Amino acid sequence: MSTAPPSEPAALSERGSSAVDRLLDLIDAEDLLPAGQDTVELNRLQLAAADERFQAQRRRIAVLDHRAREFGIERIMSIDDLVPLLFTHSVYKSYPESFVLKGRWDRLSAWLDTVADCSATGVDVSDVSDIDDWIARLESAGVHLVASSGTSGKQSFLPMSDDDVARANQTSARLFAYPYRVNPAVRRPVTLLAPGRARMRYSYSFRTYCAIFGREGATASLTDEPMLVADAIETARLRRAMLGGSISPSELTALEERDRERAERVEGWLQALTERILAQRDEPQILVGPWATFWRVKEIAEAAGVGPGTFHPETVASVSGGLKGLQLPDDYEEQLAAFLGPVLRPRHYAMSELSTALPFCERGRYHPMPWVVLIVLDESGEKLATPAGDGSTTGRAAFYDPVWTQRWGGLVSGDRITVWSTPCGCGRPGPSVEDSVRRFSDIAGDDDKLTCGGTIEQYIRGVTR
Amino acid sequence: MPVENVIAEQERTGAAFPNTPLVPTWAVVKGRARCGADEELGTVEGVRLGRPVVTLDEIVTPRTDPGPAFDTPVAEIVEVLAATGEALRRDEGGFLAESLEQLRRTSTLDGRILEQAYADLWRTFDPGRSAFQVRNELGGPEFLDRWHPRAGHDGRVTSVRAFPPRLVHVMAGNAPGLSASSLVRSALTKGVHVIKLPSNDLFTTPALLRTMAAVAPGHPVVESFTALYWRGGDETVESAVFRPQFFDKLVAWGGEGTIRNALRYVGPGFELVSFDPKNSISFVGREAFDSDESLRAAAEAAATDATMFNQDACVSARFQFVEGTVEDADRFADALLPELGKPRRTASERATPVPAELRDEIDALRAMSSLYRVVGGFEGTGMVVRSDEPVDFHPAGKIVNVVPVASLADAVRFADVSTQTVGVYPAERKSEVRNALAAAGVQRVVPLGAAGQMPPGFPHDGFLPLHRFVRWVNDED
Repeated sequence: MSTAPPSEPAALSERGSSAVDRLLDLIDAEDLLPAGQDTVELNRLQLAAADERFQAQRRRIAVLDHRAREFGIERIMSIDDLVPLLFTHSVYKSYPESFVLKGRWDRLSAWLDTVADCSATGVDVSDVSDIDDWIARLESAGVHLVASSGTSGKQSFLPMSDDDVARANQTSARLFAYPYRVNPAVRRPVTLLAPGRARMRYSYSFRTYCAIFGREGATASLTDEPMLVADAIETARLRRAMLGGSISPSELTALEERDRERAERVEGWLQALTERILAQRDEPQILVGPWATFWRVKEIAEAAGVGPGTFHPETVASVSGGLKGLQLPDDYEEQLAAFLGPVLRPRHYAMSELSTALPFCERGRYHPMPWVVLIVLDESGEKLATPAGDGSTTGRAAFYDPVWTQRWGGLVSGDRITVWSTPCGCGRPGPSVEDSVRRFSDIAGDDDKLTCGGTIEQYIRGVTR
Repeated sequence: MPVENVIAEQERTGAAFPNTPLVPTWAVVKGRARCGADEELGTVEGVRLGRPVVTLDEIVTPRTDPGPAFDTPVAEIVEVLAATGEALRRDEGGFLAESLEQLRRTSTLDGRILEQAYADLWRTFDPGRSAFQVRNELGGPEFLDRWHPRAGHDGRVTSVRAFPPRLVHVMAGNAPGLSASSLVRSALTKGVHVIKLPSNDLFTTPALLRTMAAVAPGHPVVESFTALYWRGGDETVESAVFRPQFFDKLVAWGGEGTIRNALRYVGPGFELVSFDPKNSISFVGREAFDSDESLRAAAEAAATDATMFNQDACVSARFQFVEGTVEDADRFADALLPELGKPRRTASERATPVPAELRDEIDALRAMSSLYRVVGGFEGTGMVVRSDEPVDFHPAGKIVNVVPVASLADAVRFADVSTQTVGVYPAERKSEVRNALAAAGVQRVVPLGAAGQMPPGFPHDGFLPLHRFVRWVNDED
């Protein structure tokens, strides 16, 4: 690891007039996590930046302003002031689903304007035909929406401005393959093991990697077919129809047929993708994607007689995401590692809501970048977690992210993490996150806490799968 | 170390530390209670619990052995239950006090609600109530006690017996009364019963069984019961035990995961009796606006139904449909809000504060003031969201969603197969909607405010429990 001299940390608060600008300047620093960084000064700057954004955004984001008034918070002077202002993911899916199902795009825009500062109501949506059309219309007006759906099937919409996208792309570029270095002068194949045209954060990162490292004609994704948000919503609509008892058996059959066709199509894409990746094995290539696809690629390659460890050693394989219900053997990590061989396998801890991933160091910890404030809350997400006394604190991960201008950067995640305030063995400054991140929803399924209260979703899921 | 001290020690040191001693819990094996902390049970609400060792062989009774109470007359069982009720009322052995103390520490329910529920447990054992259940659900004790002959349409005589079943019960723990009513139903059917305790109430069922054992030591009914904890879905237990060699039926209370797990084992000879997870709603007719008095009465009744067990039960109303304009719905919401904050028999003044995710969702609705109106705060004393159609989230912890409708008939479309109870104000208007509600899947139509008063001996969740518990066997001439 290169250890550049500390980049004048004491002078941080002196440069420029805006705390946000000074904090975000750190993205360009030669060494992102310089040993000997003045953490006291950094924390002061982080809070000043949070306060600066807060003062500006509360006037334009009704939900933030309401929250601030409810808790009587006028200034962010400490982490304690920040905690009540953190938003859960629910904020970004708090619109009534009927707006979408009934095509009330004006109302959906009005909703977006209450949870974010994007002037969506100023965009003409009178002739919008569906949700993807609405998203595209906003995009052309400088509101980029990242859409994701939880288990409920309801989509959340996280807005980003053009500047936000540029800044997030800049952090993706800076942190690519961290802590390894990849020489951009050597252009190489870049493959995304997921659909390239999706309303997801990874689509933006993928385009960034292609632009920086990609060789012309050698960049590809699983498919160029756009992943439509409407498809996900259609599933929700069908659930609703079932709820009201108005779905017909033929609709159900059609849905099953559609799922089967899709599965076949995806299988075709996976075959082609695997062929492409295998053909590039002799040169350094970049592979980015989730566990599920990497695993399928391995299976298809092995079925074709490809043995372990045949990839160029400078291949970068960035495998991400949780297993999302995948049934993999217990030693799946070892198996995939053996298949890929001694390639570069950077890891990171990331989420759609966060501009900047936390890269994984040589000593097995995730490190937040200095411009991102990492906060550990108790399980309820309402108070700071109590440190265990040995330098570690376990609880719900929360962040203040100063990158976003179109939405409030305070967020509470669904993840349980353990953070160490004691220095990481790798020498990087600041807190570090243990390699034990889990979603609270995956921990201790509450099967045993039986109650007789139930919802229709429990019945509906039984019908469809 | 006494249990109280162990818990106190854990609270002092923080239970997260693995070296604190485990709090022992009770298991009952064929009527014999044992307490222990031989194995770690798990951490419930911050308390690390242990359990005594119980082997799988101990809990099953092979089909070749008749159950201990198969030939005990119903009248005798009713007497044992009545004596148990009396003992519970006085809590002679202190079993309830001990159980309540532990439940208090491990339940999310408020101590006062638990106390109230415990104070009422004995009523479930009332002899008149037991006799009525047998009469109304099975046709009378004669069906349980002997082979009951009857001539068919062609004169041929067939004798029928409501034969004692072998049941494994997966209990719910969100209301202590469920343990009592389950135990009474089980005792009345004379069968062999294994009860899987829920982690949110490990204590009530063993306390009831210990009381019964003290009242009638060695009695066949007492020996018919086994109660213990294992983790729901634990294959080492369930795949060995959920088999037709040992049991006829699995009786499951709520818990989607449990029911789904159990379905894997259901097959010929092993049947599922499911008290499905449900939710409930209220219908408020325009008569509520006749006078200030009627509005207050409707609001109070609506709050009673909404706050049952701090809105954590299947009978708790979550959506309330108000016949009238948006302004009427707002008037109703304003009348309802203060009622939600009042302590009741089955509700505390303050439920757990609204969880952050729900709070965020409600805040966004509040910001869209042309479409939504939100009254009340997040501190757990009640909140009403008025919207023109039901909100997407699941209201819980004293949150009511009030939706104006043109007519009560118009509100029927919001009921479905997951709807258990519909409370109607005024009660006279139930008949207007009951057929349509039944067709939509609803199981109970009640006067608003009476959702919690489920009559014993009548259908529950769409069936007669005792009737489903027993095995109906023919002896044909």
